[in-house]
Amino acid sequence: MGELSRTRVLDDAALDPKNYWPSLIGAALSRGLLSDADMARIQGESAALFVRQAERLTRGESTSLRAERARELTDSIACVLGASLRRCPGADAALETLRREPLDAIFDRGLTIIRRRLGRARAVHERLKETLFVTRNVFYKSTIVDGLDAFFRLYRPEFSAQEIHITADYPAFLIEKGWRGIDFIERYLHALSCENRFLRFFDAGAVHRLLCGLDENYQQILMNIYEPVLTSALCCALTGRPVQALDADRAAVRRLLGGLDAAGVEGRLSAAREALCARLNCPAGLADYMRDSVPKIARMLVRAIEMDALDAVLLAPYDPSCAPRVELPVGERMADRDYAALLDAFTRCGSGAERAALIEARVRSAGDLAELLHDGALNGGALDDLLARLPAEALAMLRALYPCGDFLTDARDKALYDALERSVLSFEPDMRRRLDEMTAIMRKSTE
Amino acid sequence: MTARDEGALTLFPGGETAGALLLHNEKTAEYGLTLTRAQALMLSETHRESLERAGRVEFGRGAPDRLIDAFCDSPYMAREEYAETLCALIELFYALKNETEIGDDRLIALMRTAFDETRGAAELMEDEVLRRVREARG
Repeated sequence: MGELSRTRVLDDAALDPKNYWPSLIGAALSRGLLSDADMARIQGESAALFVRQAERLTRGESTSLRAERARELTDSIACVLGASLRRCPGADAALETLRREPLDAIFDRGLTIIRRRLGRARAVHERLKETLFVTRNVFYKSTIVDGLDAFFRLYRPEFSAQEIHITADYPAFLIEKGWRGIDFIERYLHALSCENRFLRFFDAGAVHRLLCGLDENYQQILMNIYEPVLTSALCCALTGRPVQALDADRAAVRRLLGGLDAAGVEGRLSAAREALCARLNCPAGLADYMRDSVPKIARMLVRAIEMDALDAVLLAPYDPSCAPRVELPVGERMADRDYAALLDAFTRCGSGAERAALIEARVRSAGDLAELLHDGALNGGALDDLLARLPAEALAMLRALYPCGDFLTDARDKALYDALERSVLSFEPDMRRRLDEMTAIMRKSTE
Repeated sequence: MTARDEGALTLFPGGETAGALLLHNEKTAEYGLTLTRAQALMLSETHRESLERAGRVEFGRGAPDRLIDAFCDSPYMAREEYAETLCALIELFYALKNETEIGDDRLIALMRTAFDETRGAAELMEDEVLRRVREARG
């Protein structure tokens, strides 16, 4: 019967893998599995181990440390001991090892284990860097390349096993909190590798357009890229749309998933995930990661549908290069003498048609146009007549310069603002929408 | 690992024991310097308090031990002020450790030089030691 008949004394599930050493000691003490002699030995060996590590840290040049550094060193030692004992086949075996072996031997074995894991993590990182998905999001590359390079340069498990030394800015989609040191880095690298592998199934341009659907300036946003791409791909698979286009049918998604609870949505998405994995021929590790991602995506979709905000979660691709461009330059003003001559000619014009022709012939900047309309001191009717003859780009520019009439104190500015408002109201809805878009672009270009 | 206080780390509670300090009298007596039991207790307490004030934990041979060895043959160590001077040196040592982060032996050597240069004026030593450290760092 041997091993099978031995009763488990310690419950493995009750120990905290993130803080294994104190968790093991605490569990053993609470069950009376460590005698006073055991504890005295462990405490004595702990102190000796601390002294040994402190002497190594200070290269024998100091016999004291700042208290904070001493606490960090203590924490590091606990981390290494935990890494060593976690490799035992169960908590009972770990406790037996603790009883039989001196602490410094357990610690040294832990260091060897961590160094080996570090080597493997470094290899994973190198592969990830070589196959990095190309995105304009600055945090993706800077964290994965520069940030993690810094980790491998700075990590010293003998003195700071619990540290990662970097702010892992880029947020992985699935990463459990609370892991430290090499434990965290291994999990972070695994998540990033899976997400990167998934992203590489898609054209960089298609992903770019999808993320522009969230914000044209997603390059500067600290966000996870995998999440919206997976959400879109799953919903494409769900609604029969081509997955590579990442343009899901939101109305169909609303119809299929609306009214379902999280479990129901999860069920639908799981089926879509299987189909997606088969279509993309995903490797097993990635397929598992996607499977584990589904519940979180399901919860987000349920919330978004309930709040009628599906657009925020299931993005619509947007191509900024197709957006209308307004060519009117804002800042290249004419010389003062030329402006004076223009203004003189403008005030002697007898009709809106003459004024519009003069503007078309001689005005080349938005600033000059605004100034001319102000200085020209036209009455309401004349302004209306002139604005009706100007191209939409000129109106957009003027609206960008006069966004709000509430705080205008100059009577001519107020008159121009009121005339612009009347002018816009006279347009058809489509034209008004186009004008709004152009105005927004003009405002951005003047910021 | 041993249990930690939330406050000062209690791996090595207290400073150098009074008894250990008294053992130095054998050597220092030849320079006319000895500690009474009360003075040794005072030094031990000063050691503990200085460590706490400086926010440091000691894990090896205590500073008082080495300061006594390094300063006992100074011609500027006054017999009447021996214990008080040692207290000042202990406090100064840990304060300077935090400020300079240089090795113990080097710091003690700089302190001894500064002590002699200032003719035993422990209150003037700090600036002198810091000046020498800055010079050494270039």
